[in-house]
Amino acid sequence: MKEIRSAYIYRIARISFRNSRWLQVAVLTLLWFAADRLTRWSGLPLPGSVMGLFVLWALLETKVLSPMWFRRGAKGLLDHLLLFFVPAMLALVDHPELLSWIGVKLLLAVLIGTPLVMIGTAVVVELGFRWNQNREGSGVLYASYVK
Amino acid sequence: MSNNGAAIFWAVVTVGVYLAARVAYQRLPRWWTSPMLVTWLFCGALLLGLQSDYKVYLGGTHWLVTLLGPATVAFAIPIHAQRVLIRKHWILIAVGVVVGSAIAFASSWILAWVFQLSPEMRASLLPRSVSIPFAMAESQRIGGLPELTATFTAITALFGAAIGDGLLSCLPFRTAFARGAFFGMGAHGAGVAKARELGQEEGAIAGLIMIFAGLFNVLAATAWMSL
Repeated sequence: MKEIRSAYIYRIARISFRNSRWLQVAVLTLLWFAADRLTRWSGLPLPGSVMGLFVLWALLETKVLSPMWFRRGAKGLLDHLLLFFVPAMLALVDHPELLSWIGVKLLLAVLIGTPLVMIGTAVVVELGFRWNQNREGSGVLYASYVK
Repeated sequence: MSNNGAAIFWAVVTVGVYLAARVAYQRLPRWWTSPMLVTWLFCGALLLGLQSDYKVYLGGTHWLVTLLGPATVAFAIPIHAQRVLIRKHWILIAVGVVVGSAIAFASSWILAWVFQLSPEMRASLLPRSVSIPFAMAESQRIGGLPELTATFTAITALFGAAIGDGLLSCLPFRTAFARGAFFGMGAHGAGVAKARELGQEEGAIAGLIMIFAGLFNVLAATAWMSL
């Protein structure tokens, strides 16, 4: 009887964890915190968050952890990524020197550079894809990617 | 207002404006109604209007910036979800990431040289083509100001997403791969959202290119600085 009850409690806990975005965010935060401490302690020059990403990725690939456990939490965090860096962007109020020629130049650099990156990357990927298809000599896969 | 009160005030204002802006964006989805842009401009105007100290503001909202850490870890979930696509096309993804990063780096460097920007400004500008959490980490490593990088990176995303459809319609890209790389590398977060509107494949590729470009840039900057 006791065993049945504990199995039942375990099942309820599992289901509620899978459905709770907040609990999952808390666990992801713990993971990040542990990874951050570990990288600092070991003296690795990587950011702790990137280390945490690699650790979680490895644990998922080796099936130690199931992605089902984090899906909701990860979606919640990534959906609101925009909000998390707004405070950092507001540091601009502490940089009045940007309200001058320097600011205009920086803005121009961003506006000119962005289309270059977009077009350049897409050209290379498009050529790479076509080259790959020609080499393999099958148009089947290619066709499935053409709109 | 005491510092504690001010901190709570700014936290409530920031989150409140953001939530309201999200609702507004659902009604009218345009690049200029982006919740990020609206929250940024509104809070910025309020900060300047109330002549409030940025340090006090950050005191109340620093926990939001801290959440960038767990959010970066969370990128492992979409990577894992696309493992089949990655295994099949890892060469093409790698080529897109490396070439895209090189173009981003070179164009920023040359434009910084043309405009005679200071080394600090140049370092803040260099990481602007990758997702913001990665860009800020990279900026810190190469001697830039992470908060300025956050701004340049956000402008890149907004601008890239705004001009993307127009540019794409006059360019002959036939594969979903190229269209995904176009948005994922050029306009990261906002670009991925745009790519999803084009199709599932475009969205998946854009997301992968964005995440791997971020990782590649941070790793490259870390390796470069520890040489």
